[in-house]
Amino acid sequence: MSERPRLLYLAYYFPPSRASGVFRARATANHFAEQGWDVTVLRAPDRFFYDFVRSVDEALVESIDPRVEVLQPEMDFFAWENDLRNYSFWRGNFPVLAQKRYQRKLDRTFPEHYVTWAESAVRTGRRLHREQPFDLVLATGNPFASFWAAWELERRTKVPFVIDYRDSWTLDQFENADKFPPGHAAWEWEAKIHRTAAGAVHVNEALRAWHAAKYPYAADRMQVVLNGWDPDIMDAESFGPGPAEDRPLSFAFIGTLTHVQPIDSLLEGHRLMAASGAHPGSGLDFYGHIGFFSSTEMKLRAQLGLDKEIPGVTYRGPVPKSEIGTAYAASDVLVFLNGGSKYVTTGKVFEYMATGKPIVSVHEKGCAAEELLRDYPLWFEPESLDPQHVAAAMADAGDAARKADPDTAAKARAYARSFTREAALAPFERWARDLVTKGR
Amino acid sequence: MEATLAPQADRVVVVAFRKAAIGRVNGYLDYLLSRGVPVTVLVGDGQGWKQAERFDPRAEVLSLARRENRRPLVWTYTLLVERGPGGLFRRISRLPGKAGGAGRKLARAHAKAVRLIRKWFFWRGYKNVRGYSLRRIALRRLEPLRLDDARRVVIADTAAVPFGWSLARRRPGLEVTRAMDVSAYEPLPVTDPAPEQGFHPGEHERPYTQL
Repeated sequence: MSERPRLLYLAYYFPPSRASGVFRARATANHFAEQGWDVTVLRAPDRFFYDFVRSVDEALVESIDPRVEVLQPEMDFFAWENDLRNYSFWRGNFPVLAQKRYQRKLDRTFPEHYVTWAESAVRTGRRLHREQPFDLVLATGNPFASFWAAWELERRTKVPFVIDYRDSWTLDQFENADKFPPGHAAWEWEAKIHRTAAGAVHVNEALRAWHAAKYPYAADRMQVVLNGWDPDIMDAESFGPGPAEDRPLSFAFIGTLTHVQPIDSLLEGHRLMAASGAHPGSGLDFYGHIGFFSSTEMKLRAQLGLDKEIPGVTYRGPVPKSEIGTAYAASDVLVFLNGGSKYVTTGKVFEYMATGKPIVSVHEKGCAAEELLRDYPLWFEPESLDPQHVAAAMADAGDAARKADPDTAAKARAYARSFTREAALAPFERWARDLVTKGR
Repeated sequence: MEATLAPQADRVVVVAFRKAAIGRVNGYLDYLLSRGVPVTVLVGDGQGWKQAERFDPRAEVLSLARRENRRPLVWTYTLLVERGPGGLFRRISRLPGKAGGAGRKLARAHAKAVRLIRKWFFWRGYKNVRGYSLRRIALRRLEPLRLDDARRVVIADTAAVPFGWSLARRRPGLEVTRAMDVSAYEPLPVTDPAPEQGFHPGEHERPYTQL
């Protein structure tokens, strides 16, 4: 290929957002840029991140490859705007009619509040394509309005598009049930988009298989691109051999706490372990945000029982991604607390493995991450979520941390090296390059 | 009690014109009042609030019900269609003999007809203009809301949006919002936990302060 292939990347959640899906989008943009693509990212406007969801990590912006062009198509904040000083005359005086008109617009185009951003992204994409044609459009969801934008761009410009499912659209991954009632527009749109997409990417095999069964005509265009850990953010080689003998152990959960995680089992398991006399004085530390949105943090904190003091349990608050290594360095045993579904892998498991530290699982059996953890030499899996079993697994993991066998830690880290973002994205980038080359 | 209250500038005003908002508003009130944040609730509970749950008794509640029920449209409708004929039939039903029996039948038929007329005709038309009517009433009675020492005004339902929008224009420095955001009060300790709640119409014939 004589010139750099051009990629238009529709990633609504992109730095400075700190939403969980941002790391995959960031890594994808950087990887394609490193591999010689001209990458243009269309993301949500700053106002969405700073004024409405208020979940921002500005350090992440610095980690974007400077060759990546990032644009912010405008959008209508109707669904998020709460300040009546910003309401128009129309909405302020005729709120019901304004709502009906807005809803009609959603019904006409695409059933998501983000559709105005998607429309704007289509306009921006077409303008840029006229100036210098794109070779490929890659859309990541959620929101799935970005899939619609990619579909619409293909319809108007004939540029092939690929959809990247960070989460499933119509499948409730935790409940293994349909997310929408029969006849909902989402079903029709997902089918329509699969018919024309050049490819669909999933984060694990279970999700790929579910979609392949649902849309068999597109099954041969589906592939798995695992999440991974980011060596540029976390220096895995910097972690020491183990805890000092005179220091109590730190069991730590690092990540975002949500209502689907079995936190009760963990808290009770930790209490039972302490009561049994194993690893005296050990603490249970939580690093990270509570919930994905600041508006729900308070409610969720109470729901999780973290609004009151619990002996030995410390909520240490969010850690900027750039300093995540310090949280791992301060931890001796990592607690993999997860909603537990065969469709949910979570990106954190890759970081956990990269540390080479003992990992104790606290989730239902059958979680997608088990496939990855099975060959990790320092994985401790309780028999069930019964707090007694959790306590036993935690005690065993604590013993392994105390033992701090350098050979086992080295094996663990070597295993984790096969799960970097680079490793996950490289085959996909090659596939995308082939696709573009054939199309030229 | 006064000593546990947050500074007066932290007072929150909540505006609810539809009874559908009561559940959400009570959840919000409980969070604020439990933390000693004073709240004033402005309610338009004159029409369409039959059998409505009561607001948290710890909140100051100011009602526009009497004013709303005196608006010409509402007053004329209730007099001509509901109270007038209803009163007449009730009197007839108290008469002895056949006239009394006919009166009781008429009173029952009238009560049934009134429910249907209210549901299918009066409410269908009135609900479209009710927000504007209440806006007019409320904007003339801002003084009891003491907006100068209010931190924000929370508009709890769509019917109250026209009032909130006009208020935001009159007082650009005042935050008027649809969001029941409690993040600012999160650090405050719980000082006044919720008492047992429940609405007992017998005990509170007119439970709220009428404006």
